[in-house]
Amino acid sequence: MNTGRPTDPTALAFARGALTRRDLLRRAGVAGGVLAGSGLLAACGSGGSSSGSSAGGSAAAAASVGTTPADMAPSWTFSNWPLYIDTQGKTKHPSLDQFDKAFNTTTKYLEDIEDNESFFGQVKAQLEAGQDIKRDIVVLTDWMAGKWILLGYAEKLDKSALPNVTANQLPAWLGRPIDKGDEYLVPWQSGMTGIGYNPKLTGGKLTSVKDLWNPEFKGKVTLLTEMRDTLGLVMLSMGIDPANCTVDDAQAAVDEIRPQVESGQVRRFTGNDYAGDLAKGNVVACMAWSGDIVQLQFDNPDLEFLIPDDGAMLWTDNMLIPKNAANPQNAHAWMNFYYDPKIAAEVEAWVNYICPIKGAKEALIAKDPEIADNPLIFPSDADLANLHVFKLLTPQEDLEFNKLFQDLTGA
Amino acid sequence: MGWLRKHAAYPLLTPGMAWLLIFFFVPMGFMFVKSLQTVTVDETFHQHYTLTWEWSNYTEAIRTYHSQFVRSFLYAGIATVAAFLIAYPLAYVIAFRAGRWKNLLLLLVIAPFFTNYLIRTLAWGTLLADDSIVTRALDAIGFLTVTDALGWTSEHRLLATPFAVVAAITYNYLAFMILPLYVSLEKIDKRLLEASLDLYANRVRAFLRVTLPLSLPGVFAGTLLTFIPATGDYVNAELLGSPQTKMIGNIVQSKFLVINDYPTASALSFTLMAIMLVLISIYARILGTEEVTTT
Repeated sequence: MNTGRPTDPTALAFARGALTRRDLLRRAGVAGGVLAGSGLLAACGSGGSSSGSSAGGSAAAAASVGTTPADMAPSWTFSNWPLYIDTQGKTKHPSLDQFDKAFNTTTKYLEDIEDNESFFGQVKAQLEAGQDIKRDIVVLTDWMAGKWILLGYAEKLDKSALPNVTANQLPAWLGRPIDKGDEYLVPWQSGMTGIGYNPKLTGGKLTSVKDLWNPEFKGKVTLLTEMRDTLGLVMLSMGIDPANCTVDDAQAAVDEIRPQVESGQVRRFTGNDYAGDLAKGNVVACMAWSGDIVQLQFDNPDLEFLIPDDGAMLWTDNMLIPKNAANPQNAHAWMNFYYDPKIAAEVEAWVNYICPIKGAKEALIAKDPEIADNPLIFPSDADLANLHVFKLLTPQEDLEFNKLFQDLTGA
Repeated sequence: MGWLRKHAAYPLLTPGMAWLLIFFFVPMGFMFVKSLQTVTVDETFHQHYTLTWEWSNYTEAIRTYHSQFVRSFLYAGIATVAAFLIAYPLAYVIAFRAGRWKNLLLLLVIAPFFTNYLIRTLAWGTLLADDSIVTRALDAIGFLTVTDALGWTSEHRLLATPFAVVAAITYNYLAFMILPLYVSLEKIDKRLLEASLDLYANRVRAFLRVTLPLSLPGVFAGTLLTFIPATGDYVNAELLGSPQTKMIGNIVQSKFLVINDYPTASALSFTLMAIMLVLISIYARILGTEEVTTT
């Protein structure tokens, strides 16, 4: 659901705001946009609360619940997106340090996934040739993770090594269309796609995606360039379930949006650069990602995130073990370790996306009640029930959906 | 000595030719072949390309995206004219009147280039924001009422309008206009101007009959250096525009990088190059460098 498209150097550069959501801005400094670099520092400060205080104790506790296979490799590699784990100073990651201590291993933590499609491009040839890509866990967004499973590039998980995952994975993340049997993926973090708006500027509460078409907001509304997010939300507002949609449904959603684009109601299609527009008041209401709004609210408490009555979209970044990875035992051990609510809570206090792990909220509530009580980080059961996932498109559908959508966005 | 002089051209040409051959002509060849291929995707997302001499890639691309082609040339054309109108007086002043300030002024012309292109464009986003000082000031003097009526802006805002895109393109390529103009003006022999004044030309006539014709090579270079990249530009339209201001560069970008439809993207690129070549050769005829150098 994430943007994740390959980009040339120029595109990549401006994609930091426009095309890829997974970057510095998204995690840390969306508030002020690129130009207000200070926002970045501020957001880091507010996000990086008090984690890793009791390293020894947690490690001991974790070791008792995790499996500790005797044949753990002395080192292993974990590839993730930038700024997507608890961090102290520049490079210290308390949760990983505890893991290394408890399992007597060394984690090589790479923040080298900045875009689903371009990361895939980097390792595709090796995967095709059946080679080890020198990574034991990679974190990929739903649709890309689904693609890897389909292509046979993911190792099947050994559930017996993942008791914490079995016990603590929240039901909303079980049996998703991309991995119906939960055989390949372990959710890392999730986010919601809904409506971000400023009630002061809209003159009141919004309830539905259809409110974006209010003529009073002409030219003050943006939608997302991410096809699954924009079409998914509009489909929900039309009573169509994105988990079971057809090309005709996509066409219907595009037909619903098109007049709004042609009339100028829709100002732009954006990546996470809508954040700057929303903060500056160029935009009064827009399709938005929950994690961005959490960050924006630090600077502007007026902003609200709406889960429309008809439902919002849920996307997930998933851990998976690439085919022929050299150290699957370490990978399993880490996945299990992360699903200890205490460890998950430490990561969550820093990352501020949605945590798929049962008990993390409770583990966090004493230490950081502000984050534990934030419904955008720990949504209520009622909210979770109102979140929907996008179906796994077949290659043919993928082409047709994208073509319809690109024609709509004018590119 | 004679032999060396006669044959020195070849070794001198080699690096440039090799560079062009490897990094321009060879990829162009690949791209041309790609533009005539058909792509299919199998059930496991593997893409397969077959050369089917699919000329319809071209007709289809032009049929679907002719409005973006027209818009690109229109925006680039307006931006080039605007840049010329801004740059010529400036280059003139720097070349003839700046005295000891000449180098400082030239430095100021290129100073914006010390900042990343992207950052400059994003900064324009802040300048033109809906309740920025610039927007409010232009609205207060009625400018936006006029531009709204012309369809250059809408709802009394600048951002996400054609005006913002064209203005930013003008700004981003301005130096490419100023520098060639300055060079051609600077090398004009001042004695020619004195001679024309001696021959009873007034200042206006001296400018029109001496300065302007002698600066034409600069005009030619400056307009091409502005117009060509401006036509293919997509960053300004992407960051400051709306779905109604998408240029052909945006389409190519999205075809290459978002939908991975390489054949259509290649066909669009070749079509753009072809149109550009035709336009430039017509322009060269009218303002041709041969005539410029012989008059």
